[in-house]
Amino acid sequence: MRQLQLPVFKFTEEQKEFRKKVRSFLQAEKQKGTFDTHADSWLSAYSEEFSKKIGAQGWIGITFPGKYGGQARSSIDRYIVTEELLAFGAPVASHWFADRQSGPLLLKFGTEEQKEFFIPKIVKGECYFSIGLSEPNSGSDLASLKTTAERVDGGWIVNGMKTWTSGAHHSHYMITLCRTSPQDPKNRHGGMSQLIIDLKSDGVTIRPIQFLTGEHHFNEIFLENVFVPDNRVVGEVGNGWAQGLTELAFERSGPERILSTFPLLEEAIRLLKEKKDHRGLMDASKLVSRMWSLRNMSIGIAALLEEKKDVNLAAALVKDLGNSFEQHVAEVIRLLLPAVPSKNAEDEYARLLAESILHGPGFTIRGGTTEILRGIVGKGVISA
Amino acid sequence: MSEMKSFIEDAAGKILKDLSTKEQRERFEEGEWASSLWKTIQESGLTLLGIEEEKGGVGGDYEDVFAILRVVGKYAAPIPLAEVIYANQFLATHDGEVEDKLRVVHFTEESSMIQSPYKLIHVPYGRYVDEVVVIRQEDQQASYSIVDVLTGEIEKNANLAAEPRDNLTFLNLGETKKLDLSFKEALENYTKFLALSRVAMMTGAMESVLALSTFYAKERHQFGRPLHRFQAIQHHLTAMAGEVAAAYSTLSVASSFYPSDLGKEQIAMAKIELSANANVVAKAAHQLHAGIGMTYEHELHHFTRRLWSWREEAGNETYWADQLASLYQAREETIWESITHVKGEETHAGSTV
Repeated sequence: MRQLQLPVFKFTEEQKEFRKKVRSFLQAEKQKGTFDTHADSWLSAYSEEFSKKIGAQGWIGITFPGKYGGQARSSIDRYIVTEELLAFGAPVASHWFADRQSGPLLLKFGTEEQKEFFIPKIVKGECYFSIGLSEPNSGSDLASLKTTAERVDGGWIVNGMKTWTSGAHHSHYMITLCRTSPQDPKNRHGGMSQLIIDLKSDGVTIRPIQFLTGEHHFNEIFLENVFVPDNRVVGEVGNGWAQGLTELAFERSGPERILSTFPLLEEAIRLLKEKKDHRGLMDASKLVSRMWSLRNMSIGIAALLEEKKDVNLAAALVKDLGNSFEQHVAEVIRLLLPAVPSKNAEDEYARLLAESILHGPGFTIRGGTTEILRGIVGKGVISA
Repeated sequence: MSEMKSFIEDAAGKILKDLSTKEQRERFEEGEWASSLWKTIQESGLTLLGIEEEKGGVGGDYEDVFAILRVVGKYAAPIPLAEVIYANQFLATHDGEVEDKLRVVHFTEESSMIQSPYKLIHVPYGRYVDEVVVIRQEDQQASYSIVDVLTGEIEKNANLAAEPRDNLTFLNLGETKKLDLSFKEALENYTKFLALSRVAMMTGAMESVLALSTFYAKERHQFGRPLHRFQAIQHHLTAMAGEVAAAYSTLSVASSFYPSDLGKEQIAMAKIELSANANVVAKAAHQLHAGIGMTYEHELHHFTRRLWSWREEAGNETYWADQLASLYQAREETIWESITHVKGEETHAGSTV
């Protein structure tokens, strides 16, 4: 089955040099105390200061055109930056969605005015976006969403509610998928549009949804008669569903679906080496082998994306396998190095273990649940 | 990757599709050597793949070899192609040239090898091969002898897939030649080759298990619907598809590094992965096929029994994890540095492949 055959991609010497540069920068920043390593840092570790530093290096929106302040580098270079940031468990949550989704979306479908207004700020690490998709009554069945935008003079009036919105309390804007035509049972994916809502607008209320750790990453957002001017509609009215899907493969198969608990694995192996625990290292080596294999697949997909190939099936597979792996790491490691896991532990290992366990349930839910992904793959395999 | 790869992959695929049929495999399990299949494989030159033409080979590189072995696994061909290619390469390297024969290598450190009678344990296809290249340790140095199987006694034995793993006994090993590398190196080279061969063959077998499963999921109806319409079945298919994709990628990456310095670590990880996931695929497929998959009549077991055999051969997860653990302990670099082949300050010496 051709769709399951991913190519081998080998980083060039130039790309390896670039990786070294990124890594040296992060090592220096960590030594300076700019940040601490966290598991699942892309969801939970916010630092505007750090985002601006990364922006100053040119590493946010690294693929964006120079005209808007980007570096016009390849998506492989972006892959390298992302991997290094996650391997270090660096605080990337503030700028994460703007870099991964909103920037590319605006560049692909946005107006010139939107590009000139938003992209330079995103690239500097000063302008953060949230993604407004899920609603209280539409989770996996996203097409059933109810938030509406009604046509008025000069723009739209939005009413509804969004939920699970990561980082909205730090973000400036939210790309909001809403209904601009009534629901049509014959065309479930029609009539939806993407609107950029300024989260400071009148009628926007952001309330925290406490994560099971008690921490604040997610939000629910109430939209009451929020006015969105015409120039803040992304792309075509009615084409929101299709536009939103285009970036999904990048999101699904990226390093963040494999490396969320990598800082725990690295720290555990360091400790096992210190203790000369051969059996423990043997078990850990099986985790490393799995990570290597998943990473090869993820890089293969990145290479295909660079060639604009369709990788939906493989991307769904990598997310499913990657998320299971991220959870599995904590389950294996806890038995190799018994500790009292605690979010407040001074000991880095005990803290990373706590973060990896407590954040685990989210891995297989966010960005497409395991069940949805397996449905996509199961159907794809049958029709191939 | 040589330009030959897709051409010979297709050619081998055609031969094996025609000749490595379910009926052929069944006759083989009843004790009949797959002579016409083997003859066709030999005539096509595949047994001399990876050997330079001036040494009697047909050219091609290791990526070609492992690509063909994937196809061998895909058709569960009852032939020792990996072992024969290695034995031919071994003689081409050490004797300078090679004549094609049905031969395998056998390494032994056992005390039974010090004096006659010499007993060789688990020789692949021992009852069918013409000769065995016996490699053993003598006075700190490795030596090899070529033994005609007709001069020995055969005790039949087989792995889970009914592939012969026979014990052979010889009174005389004949002329002995010195090897210019240590026994340990020679054995390690063979183990790496065989491990990656099994990775390739398991990848092919997994592909066939998935293909049989998707076919059955479409064909079989229960409760008025085809099986594939049930979510529980979709999850089985996804589990298999995931491991097939992972296996293919693992094989492609590891064989692209073979036989470089980085090769050993990659082979270790590849064999751990395939061995660990062989049963993810086999188990899901048997569950999906239910009763029919347990019968001798259905061919699913031709592939799943091979997966269960091959995951143990050339080192299972424990063997290779032991190697990796020693490697981690011995070196300074972090896992991230070794996975990315980039060191924090300077590029990893082994990264220029």
